[in-house]
Amino acid sequence: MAAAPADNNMPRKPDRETVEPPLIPAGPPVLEGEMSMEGEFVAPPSNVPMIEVNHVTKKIGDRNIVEDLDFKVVQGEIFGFIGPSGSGKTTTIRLLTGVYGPTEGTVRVMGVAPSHTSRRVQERFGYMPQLFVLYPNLTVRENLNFAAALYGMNPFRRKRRIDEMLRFVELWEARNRVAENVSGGMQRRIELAASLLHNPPLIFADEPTAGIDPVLRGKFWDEFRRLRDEGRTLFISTQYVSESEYCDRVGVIRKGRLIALDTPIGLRRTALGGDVVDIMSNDLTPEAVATLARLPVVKEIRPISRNEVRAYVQEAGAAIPALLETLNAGNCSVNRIEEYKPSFDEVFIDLMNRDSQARGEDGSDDEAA
Amino acid sequence: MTRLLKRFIRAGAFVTKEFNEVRRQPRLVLSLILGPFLILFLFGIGYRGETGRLSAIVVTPATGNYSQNPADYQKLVGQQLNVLSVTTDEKAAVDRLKKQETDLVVVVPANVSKQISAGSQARLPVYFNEVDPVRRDWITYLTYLYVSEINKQTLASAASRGQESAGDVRTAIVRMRNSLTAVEKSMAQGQTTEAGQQARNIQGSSSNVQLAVGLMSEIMASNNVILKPPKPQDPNQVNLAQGQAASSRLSTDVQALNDELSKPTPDQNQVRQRIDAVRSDLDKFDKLTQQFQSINPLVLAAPFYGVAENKAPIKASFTSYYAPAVLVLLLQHIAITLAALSMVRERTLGTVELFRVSPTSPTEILSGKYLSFLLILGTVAGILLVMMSNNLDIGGFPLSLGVPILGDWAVLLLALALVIFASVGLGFFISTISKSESQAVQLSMLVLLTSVFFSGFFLRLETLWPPVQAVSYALPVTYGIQSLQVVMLRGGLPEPALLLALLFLGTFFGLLSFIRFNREFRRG
Repeated sequence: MAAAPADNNMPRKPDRETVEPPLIPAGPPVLEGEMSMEGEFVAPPSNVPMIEVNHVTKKIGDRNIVEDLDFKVVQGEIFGFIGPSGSGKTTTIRLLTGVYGPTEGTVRVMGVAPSHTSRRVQERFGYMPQLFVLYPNLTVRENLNFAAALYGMNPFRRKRRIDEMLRFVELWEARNRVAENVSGGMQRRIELAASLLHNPPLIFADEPTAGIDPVLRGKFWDEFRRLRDEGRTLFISTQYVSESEYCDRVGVIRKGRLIALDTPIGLRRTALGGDVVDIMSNDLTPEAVATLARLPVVKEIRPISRNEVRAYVQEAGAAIPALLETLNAGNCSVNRIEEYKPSFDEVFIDLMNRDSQARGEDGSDDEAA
Repeated sequence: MTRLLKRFIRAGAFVTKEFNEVRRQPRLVLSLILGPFLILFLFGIGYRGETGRLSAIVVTPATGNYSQNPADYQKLVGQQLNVLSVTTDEKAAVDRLKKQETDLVVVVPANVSKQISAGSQARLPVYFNEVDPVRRDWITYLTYLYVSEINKQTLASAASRGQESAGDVRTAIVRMRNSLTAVEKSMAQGQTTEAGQQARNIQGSSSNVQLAVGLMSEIMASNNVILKPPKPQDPNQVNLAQGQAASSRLSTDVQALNDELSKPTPDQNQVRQRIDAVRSDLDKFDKLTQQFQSINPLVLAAPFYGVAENKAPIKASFTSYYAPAVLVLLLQHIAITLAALSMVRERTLGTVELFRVSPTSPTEILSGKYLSFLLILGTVAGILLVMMSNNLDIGGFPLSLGVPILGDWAVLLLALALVIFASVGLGFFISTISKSESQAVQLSMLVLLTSVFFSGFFLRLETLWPPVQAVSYALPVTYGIQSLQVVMLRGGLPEPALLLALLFLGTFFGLLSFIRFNREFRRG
C-alpha cells in the first residue's frame, strides 16, 4: 500500500508502477503511537508529519554544525537529504534520531521529541548508519539476531522475522557466512535488514549508497521505493546528486544550512529560475531573438551559438507553442525546439554556486559527488 | 511486564553476542582455557624451587701445605657449591669473577692460627659479582652459613683436641689416687712423715686437675644461660653442678689432709675422713672427665639443632602453592582484557552509535556484558579448576596438576565469581579511559605487571612500605589470592572482609564505569 504523496504537485516516478511486489512480507507498517499486540505499529493520523524540524541549530563548541534547519517530512515519502561532505547531513540525522539534542529550535519525530529516554519513539524508527557497524566476527544471521534483540523482539517472533528479512535483502544464501567475509554491498544489506527488522514506519539511512557500485545502488533505491510504497517514510542522506531523482522531495544542505527544499523537478526549476527551452533555427536573426525576448512567457534569452538560443520560461509546456507561433510569424523555420532538462549535477552545482555567491564565498570547498 | 521482559531481552542480546564472538574465535577459546592450564602445567613440571649451584674458585695461601685439588674442597663444601679450581693467584681468580666465569672466589686466610692466637678473628673473604638483589642476598646468606659451619667445625675440632687432652687429666687423677693409697699405706705403717710427703704431691697435682675440670665444666655448661643443666639420667653420671662443687671443694679437702698430716700426731680417723673426701672429689672429676670425653665434639660446638614442624593441613608443593595465585592472576587479566577490549571495540566499530539510536540503555549494555563475562570466565575457571585438581593421567603421564582443593567448592566458586566481578568492573573502567584498543591493551598489561609485584603473588605484602600497599588493596587479585589459598590449601573459609572487598571493588569500578559510559552515551 503506497502512502499519499506529501505534496500534491509531487510527480510520481515513472517506475513506481513497475515496482515488483514487495518482498517484505510483514505488510504495510501501521504508524500510530502504540504497538499492536502483534508488535505492529498503528498508523498515526495522516495529517501528522513524521518529522518536524523547527528552526534547529546545533552548535558543537562555538561552531554551528547546522543552522536554522526548518522542514517537515510526511508519512510515505522518500526525503532525500543532499549535501557535500561535511555539510551537516549526519549531524541532522543524529538530531532526528535523538543522539544529539538541538542547541536551538525543536525536533519532533512522530509527534514527540526524540531523545535517549524516549524509547517508545526509538523503537519505532530504523537507523541505517553510514558504515558497517555490526560485528565482523558474527555471521549474518547472528548479527541480525543481535539487532532484533536490541529492539526487544522476543526470540520466538525473531526467528521468523529474520528469515523474512534475509530473503528480502537477498542474503538468505549468505546467512551463515561470517560478516567480515561478505562483500561491502552485502554488509550494507545486512545494515538495511537490521534497520528494518522491527518493522519501523520511519527509516533513517545515512548515506546508504556511499562507496558501492552503481548496480547495487540501483537495487538499494528499488528497495527504498518498495518500502515507501508500503507506506513507510524514509529520510535518506546522500552525497550522490543524481540520486535526487529517486526521492519524492529533496533538501539540499550546504555548510549546515538548508539552501533548497523541493521536489526534484521543483529543484531544477529553482536552480534554473524556471523551465528551459532550446531553439535551433538557421533563420535566427537578432530581430527574431529580440521578438522572442519580448514575449510575456519568456524571462530571458541566452544565445548558445549562431543558430541556437536558450529561452528561460515559466513553464515549458505553455511556452513552446507561443515560441513556435512567434518564430513562424517572423518567417523563421525552426529546425528543433525542445525542453532542456539539465542533469541534477548541474542543478546541484548551480544551487551551490548561488548559495556561495549569496554568502560571498568562492565555493571551492564543496565536495559533493 | 512487557517492558521488563524487553529489558531482559536487550541485556540478553549482549550475552548471546559475547558468547558467539568468543565461540567464533577458536584461538581465543584455546588461549582462555589451554593457555592458563599450560602455564600452570609447565610451572608445575618446571619449577624445582632450588637456587642454582654456585661455582667457586678457592684461593689458598702461597705458603703452607694447602691442597690444590678441587675435590678436597668439594668434599668440605657439599653440593651447594661447585669448586671449579684451586689457585694461589687471587688476582687471576678475581679477574675471572669479573668476567662472570665463576660466581664466587673464596680466599682461605693465611696464618689462621696466629691470628686466632693473637685474639683476633681470621678474615675469610668471599667475593662475588652479582647485580640480582635476590641472588646477592642468597650468596651473602650462604657465605654466612658457610662461615658459621667453619666456625662450628673449628670449635668441634678444638673440643676434640680438648677431649684428647682430657686423657692427661685422667692420668693425673690416677696419680692422685695412687698417692692417696700411698698415704693410707704409710699411715697404716705409722710413717707419718712419708704420708705427709705423699699428701704434698697430691696438692701439687690437684691445682692442675682442678683447672682442667673447671674448663671442661665451663665448656659443657656454656648454655646455662638458656638451659638449666639437666639432671643426669644415669645415676653414675655427675651433673655439672656437682662437678663444679667438687672442683671448688678439692683444694680445701687436699689442704685439710695436708694440715692433718702436718700435725705431730695426726688423728687416724681425721686422716681417713680427709682421704675419703679427696677420693670422692676425684671420683666425681673422673666421671666428669669421662663424660666430657664421651660427648660428640660437634655437640660441644653446636649444642642446639632446630626441629621445625609444619602444622599446615598439607605439605603443598610449589605448584600447589602457586596454582591458586596463578589462577586468580590469569582470571583477572583475562577479565580485564576482555572487558576493556569489548567496550573499546564497540566504540571503534561504531556500534555505540547504533545503541544510542536504539531503545537500549547503558544499564542494559553493561549488565548484559557483565553477565556474559561472568558466565564465560566462570566456565573457564571451572574447567581450569577441574583440570588442576583431578589426578588425570595417561600411561603415567600427568594431565592435571593435582592441586588440592580442601575447602568448600561453593565458597571457592563464590570467591572466583567475586574476583571476576571485580576484574570485569576494572576492565570496564579501563575501557572508559581508553581511546583505542592498543591503549586498552597497554593499560591491561600495566595492571598485570602491577599485580605481579603488588598482589602478594611473589612478594609478601608485609615486605611493602605500608603506603604502597594501597596499590595492592586496589587490585582484585590481592584479595583473590588470599581467599583462594585459604579455601584450597587450608580448607578454611576466607575472611569475610576479603570477599566484601571484592564486592566493593566490583561495585565501585562498575559504578564508575557506568557513570562514565552513561555520560558518553548521552553526550550530545
